[in-house]
Amino acid sequence: MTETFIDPKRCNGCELCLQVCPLNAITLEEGIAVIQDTCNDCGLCSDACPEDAIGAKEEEEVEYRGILLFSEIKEGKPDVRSLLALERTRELARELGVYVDVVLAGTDICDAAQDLISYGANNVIVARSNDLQGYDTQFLLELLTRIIDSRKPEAVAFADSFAARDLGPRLAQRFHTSFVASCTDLAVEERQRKIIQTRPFFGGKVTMRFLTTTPGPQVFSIRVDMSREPEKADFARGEIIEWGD
Amino acid sequence: MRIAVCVVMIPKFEDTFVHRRTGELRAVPAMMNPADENALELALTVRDTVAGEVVAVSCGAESSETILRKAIAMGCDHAYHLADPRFEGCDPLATARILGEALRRIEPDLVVCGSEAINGGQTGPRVAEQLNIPHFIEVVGFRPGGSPGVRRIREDIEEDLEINLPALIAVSAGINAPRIPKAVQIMKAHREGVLTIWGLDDLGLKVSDVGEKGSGLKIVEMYE
Repeated sequence: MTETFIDPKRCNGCELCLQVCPLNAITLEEGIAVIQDTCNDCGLCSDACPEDAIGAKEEEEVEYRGILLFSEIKEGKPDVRSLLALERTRELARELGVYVDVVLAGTDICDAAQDLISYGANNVIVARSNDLQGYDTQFLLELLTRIIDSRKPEAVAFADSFAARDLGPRLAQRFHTSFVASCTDLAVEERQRKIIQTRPFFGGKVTMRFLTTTPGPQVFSIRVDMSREPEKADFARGEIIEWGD
Repeated sequence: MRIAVCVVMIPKFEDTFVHRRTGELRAVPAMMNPADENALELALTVRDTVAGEVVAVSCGAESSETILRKAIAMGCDHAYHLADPRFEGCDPLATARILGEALRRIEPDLVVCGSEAINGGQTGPRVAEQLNIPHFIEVVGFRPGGSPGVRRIREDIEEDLEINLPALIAVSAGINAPRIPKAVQIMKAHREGVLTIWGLDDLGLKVSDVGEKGSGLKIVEMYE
């Protein structure tokens, strides 16, 4: 596979690259230079191009790092399911050596943001909205899309809930990636730097472990054990980030 | 009103197991996903009150034709079977692309599917994203008419919402009693011309969009 790339918007069709190419691997198609498969990435064309239209394609364009958790809020406090999911998420983040960003959306959410920090959030991204009295799929989708675009997390986590079932699959489709619902176990796969997602199927008859193979963030929801109380983090230090745009 | 219902064939849980020696999953698709039957019933009821047509759409192996014939026997006007050898190995991401392309060609005012399925009920929101239309999950009722609306249950709260069409609704299992087709309807469902098969090329998809290549999830292990 050739890695040399011609930006069609910059190419002016001058044909200088065609003249310097030792392999005749460049042709002109509809006034724009096109690299053929015989190219060996020697770079002569790139040096010759007066428009800087030729370069090497970057291997991995974006690096996704960190875990983003969507926290729900109940009567001004973080939902206990979200806290239990945060407990699990902060362990994964420690293994990966990254931060946990928690998204909190609503009206009166100052105390809830502090609570999330004491349970291990490194950043709490606070989106204040007076419109968000109830639950607005569209608003939350757009909010999470913009946050994912800007923070580029490697994983987007939810606690099992209506919001997870409502937003998780749609975000996954938007970012061309997987969504695994109701994970009973999550484990870091070090070689590929992915989180293996485990969940039961067919009424618990079969358990499957999944690896996400897409380059962007993986999306999952965590089945939490509601019989236990979430534990606060040992070293709780975090920042509150006001989200506005 | 044109309504499209997405249906999927699933294995019977009691016949599903991991083969002890080979470690392979034995899961033979055998029945329609129960919530999809409720989706069909809702769509057919709406059509019977406001007029229009209902089409059933399914992406799956050859045997999926049986549930599409059942959908026709229940009263659907037409069925589309999205089948191509290259679709094999699709995960929910790739399946939603296929369903999305089919629905783009059908141009429904309303898309209905089941809210619960084996994969955790991803199809609805994923397909709605492909079509860039709003979605509503865990729906228990739909009101057609000038200002259409849905009733859904969100975290034990029953909500009535107004919606704008086109939209996708994913209905919860058990919200109605799916009609049982009569013998004569079952026979009619096997006549020619009621079922269309669309493959990769019909849907304008690339090989890299579908199958294992177009998927984002790989099973690394399974056990009983």
